[in-house]
Amino acid sequence: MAEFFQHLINGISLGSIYALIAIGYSMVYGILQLINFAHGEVVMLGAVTGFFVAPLFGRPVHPSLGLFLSVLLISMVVCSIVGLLIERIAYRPLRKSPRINCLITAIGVSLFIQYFTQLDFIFGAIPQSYPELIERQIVFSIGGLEISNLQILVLGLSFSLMGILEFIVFRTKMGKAMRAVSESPEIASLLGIPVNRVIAFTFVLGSCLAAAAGTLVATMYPKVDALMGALLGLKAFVAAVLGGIGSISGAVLGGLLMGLAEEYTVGYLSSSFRDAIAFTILILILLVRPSGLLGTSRIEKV
Amino acid sequence: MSELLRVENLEVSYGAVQALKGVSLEVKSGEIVSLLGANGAGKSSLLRAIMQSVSYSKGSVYFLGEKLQKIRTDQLVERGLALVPEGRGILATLTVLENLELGAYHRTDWQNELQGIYALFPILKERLNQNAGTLSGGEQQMLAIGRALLSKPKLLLLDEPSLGLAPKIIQNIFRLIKEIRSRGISILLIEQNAHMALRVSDRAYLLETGKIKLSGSVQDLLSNDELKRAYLGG
Repeated sequence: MAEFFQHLINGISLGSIYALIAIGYSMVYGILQLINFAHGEVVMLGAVTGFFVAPLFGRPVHPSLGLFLSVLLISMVVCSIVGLLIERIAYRPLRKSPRINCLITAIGVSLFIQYFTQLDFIFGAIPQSYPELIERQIVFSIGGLEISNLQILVLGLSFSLMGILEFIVFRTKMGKAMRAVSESPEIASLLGIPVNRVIAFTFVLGSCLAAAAGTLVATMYPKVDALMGALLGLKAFVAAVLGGIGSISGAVLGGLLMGLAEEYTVGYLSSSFRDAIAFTILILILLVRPSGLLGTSRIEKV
Repeated sequence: MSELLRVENLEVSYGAVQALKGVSLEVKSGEIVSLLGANGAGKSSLLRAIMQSVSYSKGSVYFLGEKLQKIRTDQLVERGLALVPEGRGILATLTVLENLELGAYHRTDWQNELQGIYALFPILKERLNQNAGTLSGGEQQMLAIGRALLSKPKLLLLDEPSLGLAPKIIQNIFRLIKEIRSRGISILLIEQNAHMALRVSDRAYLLETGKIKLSGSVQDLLSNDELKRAYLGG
């Protein structure tokens, strides 16, 4: 029984990281109907930024919450700038092009960032260990069930960020403008909403969450490599589809289910199915409910 | 009367199809001007081109005496031009209040104007926190007009406001159009419902297959046999 709950805890903390990434996919899809395949690479850059920045606060790195938060903040800033650049350079010029062009561009951007990061004078192709920002401690232990401070950090940070996002999207003027653009860019511009600025803001939000996810992943599993974004991004994308792409609450639900599915598969079946489960879920959801759990199928406008 | 909007020789094409073949018109401040025409005459294309949301190959649009060039639709709204699009353009997943709030997107001093909007459209006040998609057609039209008014326009472009509404509601809408003009806002009204449109207008243009066929004061047009035959059923 303890084992079951242990997997539950592990699954939820892994799932909340997927959720953070999945929200980024979903928001951009909601607003541009574009699957931003480069989003996983932004997550990777979040971790890479931390790798470079943490030693700047003093060598050897002294783990502390303050250090973690400083590194997190800097990663967020760096990733926001990257997100803005991706939007400005790669996607904006294609705003009126067919969707397939944008999709192929997204794959191109993703590959570009992966291989650019692998250059020797940038990060290199060899995986590196991520500096220890916070010392892992067991803070709660009962009958074999263990919860670490890192898991609490992951849960706490993820859900506070989601709360902030919820506030921005539903309570602020910018958030309302985002929802307006997502419903119809044409009508939004007739209301005086600067559509491009709203889209740029959406990329900043998504990139901040991706930076947080990258930092958390690297803190939990302290390894950084230039290709880590590919699989993380793909799984989070599946999570977004599972929840219903375009829906933020769907992305959160999809992310959590995805983390749990992966954790229970590893626990009760075999760890070699770890990655297979994601794609099994993708195939199943596309067969059974293509619009996702919380998604509503959009009626194509004529 | 000073000139608000002037369109000169405007041409718009969608691929090989030419929707506007050199259209010129003007709206002076304080006027209600109707633009009549059948389906496919190019009325909506003209409005979109004025709002700079479709590009035009030839001709120019002047607003407040200034030629519109390289200006985005949202900047134009800020300058005092607002369009209530055909089909009303309600943001269905946002609440009525959120729709109104976004109408005033570029403004900060709009809160105290809400009362004025509620006075014009009392029904909106009862439905503030409802999703706009749940409103009836007439209510949506009122929301669309109220929302546009909150952008503080000098000129309001209305694209078929009576489309698909019950006769009683249509009368109400036309009464509101006069009321809006009395608040100092000029109106360019697009209508297929020529009878009603002419009743509230000062001048009118008749658009046929991308060209202005007739134009003049309402009195002149009402006595024109061609117009009568085609649009007034006489």
